[in-house]
Amino acid sequence: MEKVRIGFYALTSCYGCQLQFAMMDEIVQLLDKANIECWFMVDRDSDEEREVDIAFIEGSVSTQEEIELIKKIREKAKIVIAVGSCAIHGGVQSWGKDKELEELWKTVYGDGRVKFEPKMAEPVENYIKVDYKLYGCPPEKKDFLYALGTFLIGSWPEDIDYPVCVECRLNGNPCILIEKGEPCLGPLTTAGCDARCPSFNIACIGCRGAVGYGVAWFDSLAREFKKKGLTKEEILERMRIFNAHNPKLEEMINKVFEEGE
Amino acid sequence: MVTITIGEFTRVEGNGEADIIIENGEVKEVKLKIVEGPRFFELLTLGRYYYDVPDLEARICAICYLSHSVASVLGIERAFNVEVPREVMLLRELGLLGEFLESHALHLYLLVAPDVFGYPDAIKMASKHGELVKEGLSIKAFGNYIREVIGGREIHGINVKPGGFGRYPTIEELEKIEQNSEALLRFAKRAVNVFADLKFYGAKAEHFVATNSYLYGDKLIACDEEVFDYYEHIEEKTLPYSFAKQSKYKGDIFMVGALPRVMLKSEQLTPLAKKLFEDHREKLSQGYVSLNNLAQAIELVYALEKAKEIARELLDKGLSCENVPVEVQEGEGIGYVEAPRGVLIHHYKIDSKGNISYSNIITPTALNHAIMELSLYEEAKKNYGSLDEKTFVQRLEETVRAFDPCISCSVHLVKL
Ligand code: SF4
Ligand code: SF4
Ligand code: SF4
Repeated sequence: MEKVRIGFYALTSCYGCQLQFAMMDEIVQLLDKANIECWFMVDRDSDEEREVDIAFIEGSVSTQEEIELIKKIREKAKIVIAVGSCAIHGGVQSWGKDKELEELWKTVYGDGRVKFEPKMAEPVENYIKVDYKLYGCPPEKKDFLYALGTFLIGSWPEDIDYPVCVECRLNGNPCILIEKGEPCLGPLTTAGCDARCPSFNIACIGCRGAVGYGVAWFDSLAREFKKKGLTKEEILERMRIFNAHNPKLEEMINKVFEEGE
Repeated sequence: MVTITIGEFTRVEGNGEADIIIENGEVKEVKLKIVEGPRFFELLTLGRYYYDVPDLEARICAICYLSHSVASVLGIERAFNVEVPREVMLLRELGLLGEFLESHALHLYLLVAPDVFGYPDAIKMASKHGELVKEGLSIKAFGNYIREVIGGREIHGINVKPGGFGRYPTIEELEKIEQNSEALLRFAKRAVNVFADLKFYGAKAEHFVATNSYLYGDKLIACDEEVFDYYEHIEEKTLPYSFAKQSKYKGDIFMVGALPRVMLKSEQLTPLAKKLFEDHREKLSQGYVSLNNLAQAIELVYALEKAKEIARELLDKGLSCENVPVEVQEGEGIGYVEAPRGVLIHHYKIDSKGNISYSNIITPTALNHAIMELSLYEEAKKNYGSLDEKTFVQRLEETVRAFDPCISCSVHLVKL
């Protein structure tokens, strides 16, 4: 069998996604079946110019160079996988669009005349077609295994279309939202982490991003939070951490606060 | 004028570049550039309710996320005047030790060892030195296990909170930590031998800076016996060619990290680590940055001994699993933590509603930016002309690696 050619590319990120991937015990077995064409973290002999079968992209698109890079990757790759919340949703660095970039830049670097052209952090999908997504900040190891294993046998992995609550109920955790009144984002967040944080007795902050397919009901959850006394700003702020680019978010929350009592 | 650019450093966590500027056949200047986009973490947290801040800021760095969470939590607790009991502090220390194990093992065995044995990367090195790689990976896996138990996940867990934890470890988990610490100790001892043979390279820092306790602190200390808050003596400036800022201590180049830690705080080391330190004291006192690797190996021993000690104490006393209530009040606080790479600072002002009104984060890679640049300059000067270009570039890459720089973390410093 021909070896599968793999590339792992990092945009603006914390390197957590690739670290998670690189450190799996199973990776050793995988290495027999794959050729790493480009992965700077693990292989000195890496080259972005090479063609690959599967391209993993981590990080948000935050500089002009990164836009060029992902376009090149798209041309050279058969399958493009966006890995993690940064690549899929722009990540935590997607500071709300209400803050002016110029101003941010000045605040941080003053008149230091740093010669780079910064831009707003964006999801990879804003620039190129993405074939599959590995949710999470970072994704769970089993996410990688499942996707890669499925691709390696020539099949296509399934997307996750249900929320964290499903797994949380299956685990039999007490519900933090209902019993402790804490703002858990489990009801609108993509499952797959086995309700990790609620199992640690901590409200989900939504690191896997809102469920797709138009079933992330920001409004009904916001209504719950509102009943518990959270302000509109607090709700938006919390839901935005991993969903800054979601087109539905603000609209739905606004609706809830226009409804009155 | 010729410029040699070292492109994306391989085997460094992040995107960095260096320009070596050559004039009339001599190395004139080195510019160390951080080329990836800034992520504006301080601004992300401005105006935000304090509670989510440690979780957000963990995302600055995957390799030392727990250091960020703990520094953030300490800053917030100090702002609110919250005192947590010894049990909570011990568990946080345990988490930080897990992070030392994970990060130092990754750096030493997978990034530095290939240089020592002359391989391009760890995968290729594994064919000849499989045992060593395996030992490194098992230490790393254990570090990650501790991070999962204490932090809530190997990477970016959210279990560390102001006032305590979401979930406390079980007796079985603490027992496992105690046993594994003991079992892995002999690998760590071996690492000290392997990395004791390293060549000297890089510059010597004029000053060492660390926190006053081994793993965290309420003040910084320096080799001139100063005890201080960072803003008293550390000054930052922006550079025209890099996203990261550069810092000086009393106007001089300084270093943070494992080498400064063992040199300034050897009294606090655990017995075996202390002995190994004494065995190598003379060498370490030379102060070259490459010795940071040896210091890290000694810290692997320290981390295992200390983790065992903490697990035992908690098992003997039993856990009460009680969080301290956090009462919001207006205040200001600084959290100093020793991340694996050195001093990490989170400084906050919080308003009476509990929202962040000021935030400043200074990371170890940023603090080390100047000494890193100087080291590159000295290595470049020493070797330019006498080595062919490929070996020359390789030597400079090794120099950068000695610092264990984590470039993703260096771009997040701000003064507001
Ligand atoms: S998604 Fe999370 S873990 Fe992955 S690179 Fe971004 S911040 Fe890091
Ligand atoms: S704790 Fe959170 S994730 Fe679990 S059921 Fe309740 S709302 Fe859903
Ligand atoms: S529970 Fe929520 S925050 Fe925790 S890992 Fe799952 S999606 Fe992420």
